[in-house]
Amino acid sequence: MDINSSLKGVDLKKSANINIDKGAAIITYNKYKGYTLPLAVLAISVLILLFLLIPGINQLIATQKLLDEETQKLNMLQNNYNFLINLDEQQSDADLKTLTKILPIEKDFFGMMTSVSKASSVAGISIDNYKFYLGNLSKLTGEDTQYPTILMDLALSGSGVSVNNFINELYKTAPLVEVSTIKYQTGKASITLAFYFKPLPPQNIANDTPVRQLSAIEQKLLNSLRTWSNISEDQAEFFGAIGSATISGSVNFEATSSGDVEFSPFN
Amino acid sequence: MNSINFVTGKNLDLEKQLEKVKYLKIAAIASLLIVAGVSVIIFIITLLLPVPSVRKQQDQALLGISKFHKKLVTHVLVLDRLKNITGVQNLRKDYPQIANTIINKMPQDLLISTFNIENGVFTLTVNGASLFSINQFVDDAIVASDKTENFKNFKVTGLKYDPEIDQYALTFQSDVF
Repeated sequence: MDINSSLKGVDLKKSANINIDKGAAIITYNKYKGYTLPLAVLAISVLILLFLLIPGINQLIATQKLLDEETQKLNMLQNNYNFLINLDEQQSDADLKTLTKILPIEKDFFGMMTSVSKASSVAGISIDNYKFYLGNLSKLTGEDTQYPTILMDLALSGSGVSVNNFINELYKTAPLVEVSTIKYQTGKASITLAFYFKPLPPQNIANDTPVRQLSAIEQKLLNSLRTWSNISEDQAEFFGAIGSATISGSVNFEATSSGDVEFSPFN
Repeated sequence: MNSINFVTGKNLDLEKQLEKVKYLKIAAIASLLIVAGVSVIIFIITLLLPVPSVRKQQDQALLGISKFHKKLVTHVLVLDRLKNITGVQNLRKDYPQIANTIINKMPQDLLISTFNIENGVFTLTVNGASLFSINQFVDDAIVASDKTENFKNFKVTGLKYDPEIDQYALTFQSDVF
């Protein structure tokens, strides 16, 4: 491009005193003015890319992710619905009662007494004395991760094999118990038992709570637990069992200085 | 000769520049069209994703589930109890199983005189008149204890003879887990 074309339209007479910088700018403008419109369009394209396309892509990705999550939730809800339609309500209620007998939701003295009584009847031993340690009487919640226990000391009379049979029977009798210590000497035994309980979790179970079928291991465990003794709710059975065992005595509660409570019928 | 013009009338620089501008214009318009077109397509795709429809189906499913809320709660509680029972069973010491391992091997003519499990230590004393039975019990008990991981440091801590009652007393001791 020659200088004449660059200075086209510039009145040199009027611009006689034009300075060299302004002249250079005008020359440069005229030289590149053909690029102005395409560059402006490119700039607009870049702006659309930055302010519309990229946010649009991000929005699309986020919406797709949301759709995936919502679809997953829908599938879960539909599975829940189909599962619940086919769930045997009576069997489920019965299973919950059984499991609550085996792992009570609170201190179950009735269950503990019948458990000991039934196991002693089966093993053929007599219970000489027993004592509860009730522990802290404050209310526990289902969110506590520990498994709280009630301790019970038992004094028994019987042979060594009978005592062993007794603790074997206890491990198949509701509620869940752990034998902490066994001391047996020539016909007399003292045993410390820890009966477990666990409060229920918070009851605000929402309709969108995911449910699943019992796993094979859980089903096997449940089948085995159904065969445990002392899972009946019949109180008459308890009194019958008590009548056949040699437990007797009056009941006393005694608070200790630690705030714990001991309970023994023989104090 | 004076009429011969050796210089071409075309300005090569100008032509090159015009060509560049032409390509630039094409590129600019193409980029604008592509960017704008893709933006519109993405906007439409985003609008067409069926999130509201899926949420409506969720509401319908929840309405159906609400009719079985009692079943749902019962089943969730059954799962909770099973989880906790498994937790307790894994946690508690299975002393009956440990005792059975040894006591089930005891010959009929032996009697348990002491039997303790305390602080992870198992001790068992059996009495009998037959040294043969006691020897058999020792052998069987050692084999049985080797087969499980419940016993450690399983040992015979005493074998005594009481001439007054003509009985032997054999004592085992082991750490148990």
